[in-house]
Amino acid sequence: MVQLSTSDNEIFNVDRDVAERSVLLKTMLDDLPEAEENPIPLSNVSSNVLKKVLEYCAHHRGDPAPPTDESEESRKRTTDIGDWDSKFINVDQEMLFEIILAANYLDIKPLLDVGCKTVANMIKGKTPEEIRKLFNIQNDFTQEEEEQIKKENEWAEDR
Amino acid sequence: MPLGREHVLPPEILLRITDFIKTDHAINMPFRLREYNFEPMADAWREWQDIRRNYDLLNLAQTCRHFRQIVLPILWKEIKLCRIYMVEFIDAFIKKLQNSNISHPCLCGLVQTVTFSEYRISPFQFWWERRKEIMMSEFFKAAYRIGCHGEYAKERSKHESAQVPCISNFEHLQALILRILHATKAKHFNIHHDVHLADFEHSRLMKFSNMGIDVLYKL
Repeated sequence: MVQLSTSDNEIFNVDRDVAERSVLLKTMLDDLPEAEENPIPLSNVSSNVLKKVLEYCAHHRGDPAPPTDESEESRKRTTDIGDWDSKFINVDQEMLFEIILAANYLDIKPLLDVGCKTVANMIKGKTPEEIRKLFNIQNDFTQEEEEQIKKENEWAEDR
Repeated sequence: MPLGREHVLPPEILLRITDFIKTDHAINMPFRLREYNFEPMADAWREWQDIRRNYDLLNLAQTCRHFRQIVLPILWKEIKLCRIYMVEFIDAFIKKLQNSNISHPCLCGLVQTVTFSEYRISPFQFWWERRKEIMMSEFFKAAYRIGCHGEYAKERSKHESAQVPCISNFEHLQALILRILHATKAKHFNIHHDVHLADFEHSRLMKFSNMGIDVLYKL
């Protein structure tokens, strides 16, 4: 068993093979023997997010290790998300971003990919204004810049 | 960069997201600047749909400065020119490339061409002339309907006598490539052969190498 301490000071007892879905935790457990005896502080992850992350790790505990090659083409070619993962990631937007940030921090690439694919799917097919509204992005272009961008993209407009 | 009401996603994650938005890392010649044979209508339709995918990144680049900064280098990493046919459209496209290169220099690393058509006549010229009057989806439906009823051939023959400036030989292609390379400052030019490029045999393409241009090609 491994103990994980969250930013809001909650302690989670986790099976080692579940914790080791995180490359960060695996490295710590391999390199620092004392990490198994004391709670590992995860100052960037809150308890409600860690609970979700651990749910993912527990479900995928037997999965083969993801390829280490970042340029692996198959990873990029699909935005398909498995059934269980789809249900798992069907959370509100704030939680989605929290999960992505936690997966990035804990170095859990498959979970990071599920999160990024979900955001990508949310962006697809939307106009700039719809994307802004969806993600609360502030339009910081000046009027002149907007005109310029519109002009730049005229050639690609078919709609 | 605030993405979400309270969160900041770092650039490396935004880049990862854009990876999934668009998978081939290329900006394509938009459909309306292309010409197709009538026969592979299904292919043309599919290709048009593919092009629409690129809008997702273009749209993302228009949301705010930060996304623009992140997305533009991806969009311009490769430029894919598909089924180039009419010189006047290429001129417009090159002008666009030049303008973009001024505002965002050195973004383009690879220019890729797919299918330089040798067809001298636009099979869709009839519809091209009416492109502003109809939606592109209607364009296809209309062209397909006409084809199905045998009227397409009639329209096509009407236009076959017209002389349209086109890329019809190696010199045209060479001049075009040089112009695009000059406009984009790209270091690589990737040529995909197809049946229409049968004349541009290996030895002729090798001339580009002699000119100091790194040419990649597939037979």
